[in-house]
Parts: sequence; C-alpha cells; structure tokens
Amino acid sequence: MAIEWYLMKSPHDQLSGFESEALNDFGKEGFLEALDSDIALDVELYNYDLSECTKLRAIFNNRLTDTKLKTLVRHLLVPIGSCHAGMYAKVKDRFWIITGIVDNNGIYEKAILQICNYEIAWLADDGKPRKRWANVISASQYNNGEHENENYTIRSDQLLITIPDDDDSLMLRQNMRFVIDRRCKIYEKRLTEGVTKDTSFPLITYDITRVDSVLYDYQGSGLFEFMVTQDEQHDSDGYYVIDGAGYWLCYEPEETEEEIHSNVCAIISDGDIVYYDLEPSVYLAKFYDQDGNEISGVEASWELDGEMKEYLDITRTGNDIAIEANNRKLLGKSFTLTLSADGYEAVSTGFTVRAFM
Amino acid sequence: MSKRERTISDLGLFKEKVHTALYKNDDIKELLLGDLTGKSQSEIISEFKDHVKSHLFIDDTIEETGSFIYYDIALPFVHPQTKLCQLTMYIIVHRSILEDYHKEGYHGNRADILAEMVQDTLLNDEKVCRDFGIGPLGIYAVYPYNSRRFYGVQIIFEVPNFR
Repeated sequence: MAIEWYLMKSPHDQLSGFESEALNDFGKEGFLEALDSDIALDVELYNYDLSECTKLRAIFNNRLTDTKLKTLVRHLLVPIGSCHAGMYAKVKDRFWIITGIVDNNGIYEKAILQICNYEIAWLADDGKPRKRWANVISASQYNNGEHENENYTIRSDQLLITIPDDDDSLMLRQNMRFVIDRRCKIYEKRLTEGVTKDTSFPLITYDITRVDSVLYDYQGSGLFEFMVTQDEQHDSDGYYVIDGAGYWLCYEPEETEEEIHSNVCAIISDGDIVYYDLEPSVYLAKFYDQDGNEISGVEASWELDGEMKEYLDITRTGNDIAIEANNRKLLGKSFTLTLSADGYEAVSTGFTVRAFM
Repeated sequence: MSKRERTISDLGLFKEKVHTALYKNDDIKELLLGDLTGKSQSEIISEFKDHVKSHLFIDDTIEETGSFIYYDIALPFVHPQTKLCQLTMYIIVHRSILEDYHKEGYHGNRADILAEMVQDTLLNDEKVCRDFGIGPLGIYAVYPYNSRRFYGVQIIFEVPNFR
C-alpha cells in the first residue's frame, strides 16, 4: 500500500499493518483525552433515588436537533463501566434518565437519555413517601388496560411514565394514585409558612391502570414503565409535610385503631327496600365493646323518621324491629331508621318502600 | 282540570299484584327456587325475580335449567266506560326437569303442577282474585307452550274493569 494514502505525520504503528492494535492500545486513552477537551461537559450520574452521585466528564451528544421530539433525547458518551439503564444523568441542572441497554465499542460506552419532566411522589407500603424523577409522555392513543361501560363523562387523559426499576418502584400497583400537576410549584409559593397539610388546591390526579415490570428488565439494570389515567381529585389529595419535607400526594388516610375499637352499635339489615304488601323487613341491633366483641344486655332505642311514617306497621321483638308497608300511600316514600343506646354513638340507615315486581 | 286518564295504569298495577301474590305462595317459591333453607330474604327475593318476569318469554334467551313464569297484561277491548284486562301467562319448564317433580295434591308434570299452583294463587284466594277489577279474575283459555328448550302452559286470565 502506497505510503501517500495515509495522513501526513501518521505514527509509525499506523503504517505498519497493526492498526487494530493501535486502536486497542490508544483508543480508551484517546477518548479520555477527548473528555478533557471542550467537547465534553461536567455530568453528574445518580442512582434511582439520587442518594449516590458520581461526577465525571462526558460527551453529551445530539444536542443540535431538527425536530421537537429529538430535543427530548440525548446520547451520553462516557468511559466504559460508568452507567447503566435506570440511572439519572444531571446535565446543566436538568435530569435525564438512561433508557435502553448501555453498551460499548471497546473505547467508550453510549447511553440514550430521555428528559425527566416531572418528579412523581407516592406513599409506599411502609407509609413513607418516595420520589422519583420520571419521563412522562402522553399515552392517550394507547389502551389503558381497563374497559368499562361509560354511563357518564369523566376526564380521561393517559400518561406513560418511565422511572428506574428499583425495589420501591416495582411495588407500585394498579389503582395507586399520583398528583401530576405542574401547578404544584405555583401552589407552593402560596402555602402559609409552617403549614403541614393543605388539600385546598385543585389538582390533576391520576391512577395506575397498567403496569409493566418485565418489558424493560435488562437483567442487572432496567426501567419500570406504567400507564396512568386521569381520575377525579379526592378530598384528601394535596400537600403534606412528612419528616420535614413537602410532598404532593394522593393520600388515603386510614381509620385509626381508636376509631375501630370504640363502643359502637350497628344496624344489621337485609337491604334498603321494604316491599309493599310483602313480608316485613327485619332490622337487628348489635352492640360491640372496645375490643370489637358483641355484647348483650344493652337496651336499644329506635327512631323512625320520614313522611307518613305512621302508616308503617312496626313490630318490635327484643332489640330488633320488623317493618311492614301495607298501605299503598307509602309507595316511593323513604325513611331513616336510627339506632341509639346510652353510651353508644347513634347509627342510621335508610329504606324506601317499593312495589314488588 | 280534566280527570287524569288511567286506562293504561292497570298494566303496572296488575303486575305488582300478580308478582306479590305469586311471591306469597310458598309452594311456588319452593318449586321455582328449590330448598330455601338458609337463604336470606333478599336472596330469595332476588332469585324469585330471576324466575318470575313481568314480560313475555323469547325462546333461546334462557339456557338455564329451571322453571319460569313470564306474563304480561293486555287490554284487548277498551269501551267508553269499561275495559277488558287480559293477563297472559307462560308457565314454562326446561325439558330436562319437566318430569322430575311431584307434590301431594297436584297432578301432572312440573309445568302442570306450577300452573295449578298459579291457579290456586290467583283464582282460589278470594281476596286476590277480586283485587283486579269488576268481579273475580277468571280463566279465558289454556294452551300448551312448546319451544326448543322449554315446555309449559299458556294461561289467559281475564277480568273486566272500569276505565
């Protein structure tokens, strides 16, 4: 091969027939040299919950793009062994998530980055909040994994969310709910100082309708992808301060032990309809102690409320009562039946008189 | 204000009375639903409503092996002051269980027995049979009912009533 074909000032080993060895010998070093130049940036690589950070130089490629969609994707070229799918890269104060399998060409490894546009928060099963930066994209064109007959119109936006596949995110399950609303940042400016809970703001909330933990499992690294569908805001959805940090959560408060095990009474009935000219409907009175055990010897007091209640035929046997509707005037009338006793909170139930058909 | 027209009101009213009367007959409930021991009132009512319908039967819409009562009301003659109320009832039984029911005091197959129970309920109880119109409810005609899965009896009851 003529020596004129090669670049001027080529090192001797590149003209010797051992070019591949030169690549092996100097490729990685050459890349490290490139990282020290102006074409590389300072990048922070984070694990799934941002608890571990590695600072390094990397080439942040594909920055000058032609379409809107491509502006949301970047290539990250880093020394081999630096990153894997599911890690975050923080570049110029913006979080990106590494998607797809990271692999190398013997000189450097290349990761595909997608923009993180929202930090989702949820309460895990242990009652503690979790936060993850997420890539959120519209998925309204996909099937959300559920089907129902529509009897009324509700909001129905769908989003596809990608986060790392760590032990916390993999435990997300169907029907868990999230606040995904950029207005939260505006609301936070309006919060009263020292407030620990505020559920007064209108929020856009979603619940998980489809989860996929296998599709992006790359064995040793990976992503967790799930689909959320917009639902209606609950009264308890809002801002909560937990362990000194603020979170926008879809929070479902649980009944406390005290509420479950106080002295309670209960009406046991077999439905909320009393049929006209049919057998009586029986309502049983039950009383429970603080441990939830049924107790006897409590005298029940029943009160009936409703228009034309005097036309109902009521028979009392012990603490229980039977109600019969034998007058056609009662058809369609609704009544409230209240059970109470000394030391017990009153409970009520309702029934309507209907013709049997 | 003119008097409210009530000619058609009897359709619904009759159905309420028929449904209630049939439900009150324990023999009918036992034949339609089987052993009722341990069932709650609401369970019995729900199952009864599955077996007694206030509309007519369409063949092949039910594949369940069971006994059913389908009925509807017609007003074939409406005169200036009176009308004829006609109750058409289909008492039908799945062919596979037609012959396997016997009860003391009743004759024939399951459909015949059920028809006789309905007759007892609607005609032999004075309070019920006089609750529909002018004079007692009566039978106008009885025909066999024959379809692919079900066999039974079609009974047409009649009673005149004021408009």
